[in-house]
Amino acid sequence: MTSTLPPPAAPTDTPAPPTAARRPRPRLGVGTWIAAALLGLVLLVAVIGPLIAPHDPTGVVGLPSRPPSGEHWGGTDSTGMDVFSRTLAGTRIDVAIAVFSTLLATALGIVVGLAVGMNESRRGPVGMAARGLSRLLDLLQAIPVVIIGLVVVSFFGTSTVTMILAIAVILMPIQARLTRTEVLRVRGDAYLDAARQAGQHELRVIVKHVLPNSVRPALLNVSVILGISIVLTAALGFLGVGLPPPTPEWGSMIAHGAGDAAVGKWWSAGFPAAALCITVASASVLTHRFTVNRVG
Amino acid sequence: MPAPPRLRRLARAAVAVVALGLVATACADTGDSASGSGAARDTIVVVTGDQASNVVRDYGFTNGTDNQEVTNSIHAQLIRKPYIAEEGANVQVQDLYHFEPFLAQSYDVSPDGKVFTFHLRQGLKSQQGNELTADDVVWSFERKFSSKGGGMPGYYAPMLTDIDKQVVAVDKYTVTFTIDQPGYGFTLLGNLAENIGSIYDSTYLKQHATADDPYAIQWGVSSMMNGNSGFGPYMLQSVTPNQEIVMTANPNYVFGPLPIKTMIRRVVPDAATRANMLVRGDADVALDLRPSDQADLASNPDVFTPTASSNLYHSITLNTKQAPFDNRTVRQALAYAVPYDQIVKDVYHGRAYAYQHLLDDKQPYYDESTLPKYTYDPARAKALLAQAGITTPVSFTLTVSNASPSVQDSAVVLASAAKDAGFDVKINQVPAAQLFSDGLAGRLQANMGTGSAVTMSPPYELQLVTQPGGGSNLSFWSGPDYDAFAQVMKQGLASTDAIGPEAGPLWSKAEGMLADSAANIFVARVMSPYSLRADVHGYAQRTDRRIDYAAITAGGEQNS
Amino acid sequence: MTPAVPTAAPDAASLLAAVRRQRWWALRVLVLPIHILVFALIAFFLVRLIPGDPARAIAGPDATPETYEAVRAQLGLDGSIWTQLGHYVSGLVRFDPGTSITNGRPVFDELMARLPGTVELAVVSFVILVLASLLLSLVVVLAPRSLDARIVSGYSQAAGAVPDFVVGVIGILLFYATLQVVPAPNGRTRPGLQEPDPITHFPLLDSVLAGRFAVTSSILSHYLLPIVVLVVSLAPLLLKQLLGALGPAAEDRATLFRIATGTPRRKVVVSIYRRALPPTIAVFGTIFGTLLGGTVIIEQLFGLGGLGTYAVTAVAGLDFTALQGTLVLVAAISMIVFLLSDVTTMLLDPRRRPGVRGSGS
Repeated sequence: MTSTLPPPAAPTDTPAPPTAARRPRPRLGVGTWIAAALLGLVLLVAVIGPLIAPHDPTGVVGLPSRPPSGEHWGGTDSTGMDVFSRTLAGTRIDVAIAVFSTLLATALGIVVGLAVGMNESRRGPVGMAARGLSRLLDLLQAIPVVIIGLVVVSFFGTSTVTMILAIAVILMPIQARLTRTEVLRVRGDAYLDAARQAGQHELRVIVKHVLPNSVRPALLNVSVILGISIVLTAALGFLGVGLPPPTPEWGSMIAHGAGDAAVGKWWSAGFPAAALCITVASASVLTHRFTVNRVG
Repeated sequence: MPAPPRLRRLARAAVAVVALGLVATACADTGDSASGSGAARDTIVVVTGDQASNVVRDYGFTNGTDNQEVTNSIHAQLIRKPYIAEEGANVQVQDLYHFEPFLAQSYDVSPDGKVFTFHLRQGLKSQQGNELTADDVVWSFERKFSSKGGGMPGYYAPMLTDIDKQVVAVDKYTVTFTIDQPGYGFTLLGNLAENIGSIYDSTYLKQHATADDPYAIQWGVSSMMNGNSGFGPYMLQSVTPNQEIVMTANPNYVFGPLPIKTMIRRVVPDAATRANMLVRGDADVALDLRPSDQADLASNPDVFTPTASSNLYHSITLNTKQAPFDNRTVRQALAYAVPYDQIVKDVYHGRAYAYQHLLDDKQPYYDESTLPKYTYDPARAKALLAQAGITTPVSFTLTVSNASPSVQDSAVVLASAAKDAGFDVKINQVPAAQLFSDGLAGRLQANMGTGSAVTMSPPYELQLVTQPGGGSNLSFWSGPDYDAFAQVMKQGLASTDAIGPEAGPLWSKAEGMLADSAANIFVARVMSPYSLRADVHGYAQRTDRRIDYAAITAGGEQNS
Repeated sequence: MTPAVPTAAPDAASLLAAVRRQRWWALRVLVLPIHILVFALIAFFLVRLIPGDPARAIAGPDATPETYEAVRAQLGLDGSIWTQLGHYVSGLVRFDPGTSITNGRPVFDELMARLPGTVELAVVSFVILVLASLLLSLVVVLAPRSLDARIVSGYSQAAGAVPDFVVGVIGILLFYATLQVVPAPNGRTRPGLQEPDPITHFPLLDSVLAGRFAVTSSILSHYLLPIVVLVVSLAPLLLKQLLGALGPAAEDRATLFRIATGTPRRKVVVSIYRRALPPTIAVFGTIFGTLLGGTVIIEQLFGLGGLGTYAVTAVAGLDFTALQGTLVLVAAISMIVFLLSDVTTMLLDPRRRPGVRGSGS
C-alpha cells in the first residue's frame, strides 16, 4: 500500500444525506476499546521504548539470526542486533516520523488549500497563480507516492528529519485538496459577506470564519495520512532508500528481514511488521469510530 | 434488514467458485521445471537478481552480474587462462600467471619481450558466420579505443596508447601487439584474456556502421538483439525486458559443440527467493545469493556451493584529503578498530576469508613480511589516537551502497565494534552510482564496498586504487609517502618481467607501503555468491567470478 | 457570448448550444495535454534534484578526465540546464523522451516494451479488486448484523494497515516456499515456454488470441499470487469507501419506502447500489493509480519486471532520461484514468458537472 493515495475522504464527496440524522449511532464496542488501548500502548512505548529495551537497539549484542529465546525475546537479526529492543526503540522513530510529517503536511496543506481556495476565482496574477497551484495539486496526485517518494528522498537524503520533510511534502497535496474543496463550498456563504461588510479585514475573515469551517475534512483525514506516512516510510525502506542502518525503523527492519523471512527466519521482519500493522490498524479503527460518530 | 438466504448462499457460492478456480489454475504450473532426475539435460535455468541492460561493452561501463555473464558468454578472446586445481577448493580456478590459446592458435613473444605475435585459428566462424581474421582483431581494438564511454583506453594504459602503430595485422591470420616496455607484457596478456579483450566480428558490424557511427556502437546499443557480434559460446535468442534473456549455443563456437544448448536466464530480484528456487529445483544456477543462504544450503544434498579463493576484496576506503582521515595515525587506528574475524564469521557465514591486503599471495616471489599486521585491537586503536593527541570519539560517516546487504551488515558490525576503539561511525546508504560519483568528487569521508581488479597483474592492481585521477582511487592518497610508493612502482614497471624475480619483491614492498598508509583497509576476500543444483557439473571459477557456461553440463550423477 | 441575432440561422444557435452543453467534458479533454506537459516540466526538475552524476557512473572506474567530459557530451549532459530542458521539451512534443543514459536505447521503446505487461496486471487486478469489494460489501448490505458482515467491516477498517510488501513476502513464504501451490515467483510463464509473437502486446490477451492456451494457463498461474496480494492489501481501501456510501443509501427514505411497499429484496439491493455507486467512482480512479504504484513492489517480489522496476532501476542508476520518461508516462495514464472516472461520474450524476453550483473539485 505503499503507493496509497487515500481516496478523498468520503464526507467531502458525499453531501451529508438529509436522512443521516436518523441513522442510529454505533455503540463504542469492545473493538474500539481494544484499539484505544493498543494505540495508547504504542504511544507509551514511543515515549519510554528506548528506556525499557532490554538490549542496545543499535549495537550488535549476540550471534546473528538467532530465533526468539529467553535472552532475545524477538531473536536477533542478520547482524546480531536484538529484534525486540529494536522494535521497541523503532516505535519512537516511526511514531515521530508519522506524527510530525502528518502535522506538517496538514498544516501546510491547510494553508495552501486556503490560499488556493480563496483566490482561485480572482482575476489577475494572484488568481492565475492560485488556479495554477490548484491544477498542480491535482497533477501531483497523478503519480504513485512511492515513485515520488523515491525521487524526493534521494534529494533530501535519509535522516529522520529529512524523512519527515520528504513525507510531508509528498502528502501535503492530499490535505490541500481536501481543504480547498471545503473552502470553495464555504466561500460563498452569506455570513462571510456580512463579516466583510461589518468592516472586518479580509485576513481576519479568513482566519475567523473560513478557517474553522473548512478544516474539518483535513483534520478527519489525519489518521489516514498518519497510516500512509508510516507505511510509506516502510515502503521506501523496502526499496532501499529508507533510514540507514542501524537506525531502528520498522520499515527498514522489515525490508532488511524480508529475505530472512522468505527462508523461514520470520522474526526479524515479523516483529516490526506486527508493530506496524497494530499501530496503523488501531489508529484506523479509532478514526473510523470517531468519524462515524461525528459526521452526519 | 435480514439477509434473504438465497442471495447470501449465492454470494458465498460465488466466492467459493472464484477461489477454487484460481487455485486450480495455479496448480497447473507448479511442477518443477529445471532439475529432472538422472538424464542429461541440454537446457538450464539461471536465476539472476538483475538483467543485463546493455551488451555493448564499448558503449559504457556496465555493472551488475548479469551484464558481465551475458557479455562473457557472447564473446571470446585471443587467449585465456587455464583452469587448474586449487588446494582446499572444491572447484577448479583459473591460473593467473599462464595463458593458453583461445581464438588464437598460438602466440609468441619476441626476444626483447616487446612484440607479441598471435597466430589465429583458420576457418573459425563468428556467430554470424563470418571468418575470423587479423582485421577483426585490429578493428576490435580500434573500436574499443574510439568510444569514450567504455573507458577502454584507461584499462589499457600505459600498455597500449596508439592502436594504429601498436596493433598490426601482419597477414590474414597473424596480428602483432607491440609495447614500449617488456614490463607491460604480463598486464597486456592479462587484459587480452578478460572480456575487455573481446574480439568482434568486424564484417558484420561494418555492415551496420554509418558515417556518424563508424564502429556501429550506437547501432549495437539500439537493440539488445544486435549484440550477437562475437565468437563466444552463446548468443542471444530472445530478450524480455527486466524478465528473461534466452541464450542458445553458438554452432560455430571454437570448442563446440556445447552440452548446454539453451540457457534461460530469469530475473528474480529477491535473493532469498532465488535460494528457494534452487532448493525446489525451479532453477539450476542461482546468482548473487546471500552468504547466510549459502551457509544454510550447505547441508542440502541437492545443492552444490563452490568453495575457492576469490579476487573480490571487501575494503574500506578513507578519504585522505578530509578530516579525520587526513591524518595517517587516525587511519591506522581505524585499521585496528575493524572486527575482521567477526565480519568473516557473522556477516559472511564463512563465505569469506580473512585477507588483509590487495595482491594475490600465490603470485611468484610474493613476500608477506612487508605488511603491518592489522587485527581488531581496540586498546591499540585508542592508544594510537591518544598518542596523536586526538580527542575521542572520532566521528565519521561511512557510506555504503544500498544494493549490497552484506556490506550494509558489515557496516553495522563495524560501527558496533569500532565504538570500543574510540570511533563513532554513522552509516549512510546511497545508490551505487551516487556512491561512485560522490566518492570521485571527494565528498565522502569513508566508504566501504567490494571490488576487484579486472586483470590480476600486480602493477595493475596497485595502480587501480592509487593512480592520481584514476576512477577507482577514492582515497586520493598523496604526499611524501605516496611519492615514495610511486618511485617503487616505477622501478617495478621498468623491470623486464612483471612477475619475475626482480619485480616481485618491489610489488610486495609497494604493497607494504600502501598498507602502512592505511588509505585502503582490506578486510576480507569474498567467495563466489553462486550456488548450483548438485547435478550441474563442470563449474570452474573464472577470475572475474562469473560462470563459464561453456564448461557446464547438467543431469547425470551428482556433484560430490 | 454574442446575443443571438434574430435573423441568424437557428442551426448555428443550436450548434453553439450543443457545443456549450458538451463543454463540461470537452474542456477537460482539451487541457489534458497541457497538464501532462506541465507535469513533464515538474518531472524534469524533480529528477535533477537527485544527487549524483550519471556521467561518472557511465564513464566507469578507469575514466580519465577527458573521457569523462566526452561522456558528458555524449549523454547530452554538457549544456546548461536550459539547453537540456529545450531538448527535452522539443523531444516530448514529438513523443520522443530521449535515449536512456545507462544503455543508450530510446526510452520510448523501453517504456513501450514494459507498459503492456504492467497495465495488464493492473487492469486484471483492478477488475478482481472491484468485483471482490462489491461482493464483500454485499455481505454487509444483506446482513449488517451477521458475523460475516462484522468480519468484512473489520477488514475494511484495516485499510492501509497491512502493507503490500508484507502481504507479498508472507504469500511467497506460505504458498510457494512452504505449501508449493503456486509456481515460483520468476516472471510470467514457466521457463522454456515461449510466449507467442506479440499481437496486442498484452501477454495474457496475446496468448488467448494466438490460441496458445498452455501459455495462458501458465500466465494465469503466475499472476495468481501477485493479484491476490494486490487485492488483499488494497481491497480495504475501496471497501471502506463503498461501505461508507452504502450505509446511508441503505437507510435512505427511498430505500425504506421500497422495503415498506414490499418491493422484492433483489430490487431493493440493486437500488441501494445504484444510489451509492456514483460517489465512489472517483475513488475507483484513485485506486487504479494506487494499483499502478503498488505494482512497483509486486514486480520486485515476483520478477514481473515492468514500469515499476524500470523506475527503481533508473533511480539507482541515475538514469535521468529514463526516470523522467517513466514519470510522465505514469502521470499521463493516471490523468487519463482520473478523467475517465470523472466523466463517468458526471454522466451518472449531472449535478457534479462544472458550472453547476457547488462544483470545484
